[in-house]
Amino acid sequence: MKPHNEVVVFLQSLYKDSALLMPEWVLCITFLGLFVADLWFKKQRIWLLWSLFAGGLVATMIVTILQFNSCSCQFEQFFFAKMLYLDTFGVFFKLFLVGATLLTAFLIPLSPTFRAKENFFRGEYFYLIVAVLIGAYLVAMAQHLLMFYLALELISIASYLLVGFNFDKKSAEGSLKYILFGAFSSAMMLYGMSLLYGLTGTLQVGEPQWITTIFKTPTLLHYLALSFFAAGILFKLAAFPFHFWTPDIYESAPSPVVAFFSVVPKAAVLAFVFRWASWFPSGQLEWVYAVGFIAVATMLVGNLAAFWQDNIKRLLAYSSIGQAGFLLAMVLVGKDFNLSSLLFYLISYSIANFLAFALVDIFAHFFGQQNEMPYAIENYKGIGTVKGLESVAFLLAMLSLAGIPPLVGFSAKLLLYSTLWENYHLLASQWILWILFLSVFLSLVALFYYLKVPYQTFFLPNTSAIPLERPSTFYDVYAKVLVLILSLALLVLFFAPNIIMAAIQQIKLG
Amino acid sequence: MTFFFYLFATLTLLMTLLLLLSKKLIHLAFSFLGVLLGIAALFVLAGADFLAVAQILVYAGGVLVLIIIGIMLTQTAPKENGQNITSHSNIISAVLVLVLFSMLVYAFISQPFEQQTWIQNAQIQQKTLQTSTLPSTGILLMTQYLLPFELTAILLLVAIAGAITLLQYKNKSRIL
Repeated sequence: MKPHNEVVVFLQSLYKDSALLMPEWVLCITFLGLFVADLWFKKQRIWLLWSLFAGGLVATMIVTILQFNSCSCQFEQFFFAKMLYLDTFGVFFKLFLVGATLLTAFLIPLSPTFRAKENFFRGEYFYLIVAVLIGAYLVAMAQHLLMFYLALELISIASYLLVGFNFDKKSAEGSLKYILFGAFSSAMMLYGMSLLYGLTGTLQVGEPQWITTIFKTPTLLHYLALSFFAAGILFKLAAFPFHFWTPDIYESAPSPVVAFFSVVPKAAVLAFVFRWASWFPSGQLEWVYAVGFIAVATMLVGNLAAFWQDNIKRLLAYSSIGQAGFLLAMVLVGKDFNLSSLLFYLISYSIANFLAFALVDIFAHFFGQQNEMPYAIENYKGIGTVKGLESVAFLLAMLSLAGIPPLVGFSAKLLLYSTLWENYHLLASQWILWILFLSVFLSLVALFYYLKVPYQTFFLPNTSAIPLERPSTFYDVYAKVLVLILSLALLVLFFAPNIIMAAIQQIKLG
Repeated sequence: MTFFFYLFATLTLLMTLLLLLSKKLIHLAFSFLGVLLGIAALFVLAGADFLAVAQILVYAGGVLVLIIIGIMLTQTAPKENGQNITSHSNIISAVLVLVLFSMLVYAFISQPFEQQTWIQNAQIQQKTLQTSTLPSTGILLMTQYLLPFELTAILLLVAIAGAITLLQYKNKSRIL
């Protein structure tokens, strides 16, 4: 037990540190505000809640930007009793996460759940998303296994619930599946954490002493503990042995939620993974082999299984598995990797992904509520002649995901390949060269399934008997503006990547 | 002390086996109670008095009662036929589990735990067994672990709100 004085000093330091948690405070206020507002306002509340939600996110974004600006150098520090670690890398990820959530907010009005009258919209939708974001913020900064686990669990529990928000049988089934898979992987991760604790005697990760105990002379138990721990992380990333849940869950959840899942929890966990990767001892190649194997297997599984999908959401689910493989390939080289290429890839992937999911919902609206399967790919036959703008935007999103110029996905892939090439020279490991070849080959393969839908829209005649539904003018204009902005972002970032590159290059992993 | 450890460890293992082998849900629930109590006893022997009490209160007192009530409310006519236990995938998973288990056993035996400094320090100090852990747990929760502690509040709020949301839909005409 600590003496009284020591406790007081400790509490004062916590009080001082809480100023650094400003963005999280704003998020918590948004969360509770939405909670109360949801109970308070009865009529016309959808848009009111939506604007509260978006307003809270904008406020969080502003506070995070202030934090980013105030802290360019000599900023790296532990705070809150070493629970969290603040560096430009973490703050940039937080900025990215809140940006992605804001995009989700703009996607929500497009979704069928938001429009349907008889299925009145639930305010819980908004604050559960905010809860996921709080968890993601803390995961991006966590330096303590307990903190990391709780934050990850906050993400998970809110996610399980969000999957069920279509409130139909399929959605409930998806939610239940997600809970079972998720609970299993969390349990494995906890077991790994308990082993790591037994091996080191501390939950505080990342300190020099901890790193040497774990990585310098690993025994079999170290490897087992780390693999158990990795199970939970790979589950959240939807990477190779733990990817089975992805297509089912993506198919049954509301599209904005899916777009959100495919970016925000993944990015938060990636931030954590990259911190771990920077601790791998640079001399030893076992870590390169292990991560490389998972990355390659993930790419293979995602890109090859995507071929046989006839549902657009399942196709995008496999595509996101494949993209997770590409992102993991960047972890390969430990502390020597090029941060800016990772961040650029993440941004380019997210914009294209959000555009794709926005269009999935817009097209589903055109196909109408009578359509039993609004997400089947065969619906898209010949729609290019009727809905020109949307179809072209879909083509752009797919081409950007596949990495074709003149879209930002191409620059991102190019950066990835050049980073891998540099690291091949640096580490002189044939393995990296093979990964490089395989990822180039697989992005070519991916082109075939990415073009599956645009092929249907532009080259096949329309055979559907059901006429397209006419959306309301407001919906139409809103959808067109959103689609235009996102498509332009894909083009502009290709021609002028410096807009974000300038900011990205300042980022350092502390 | 060692005798009691082995006694309770055997009891817990036996109860776990019973849990895995029992076919009826209510047998399963009661062998689970045995497992939880055995683990609580192991916590006591490890000097974690607070954890032992929490284990009994939360798991044996709360979770288990919930499980039993759940069984009572959802019990339907027993279907005891049609359970094919030795299917193909079960054999594969049994092999996998055995491999993993033997790997773990080997890893635990070969790991030189007694050489680790933090375990050596703990053995020298023998602090934990002499005083109750309750005051230090309370102080730690309010100082060092304040942030995780507060985060748990949000976590529970999310879980409760979500459970209520899902339940409310049962009364609507929609499917579910």
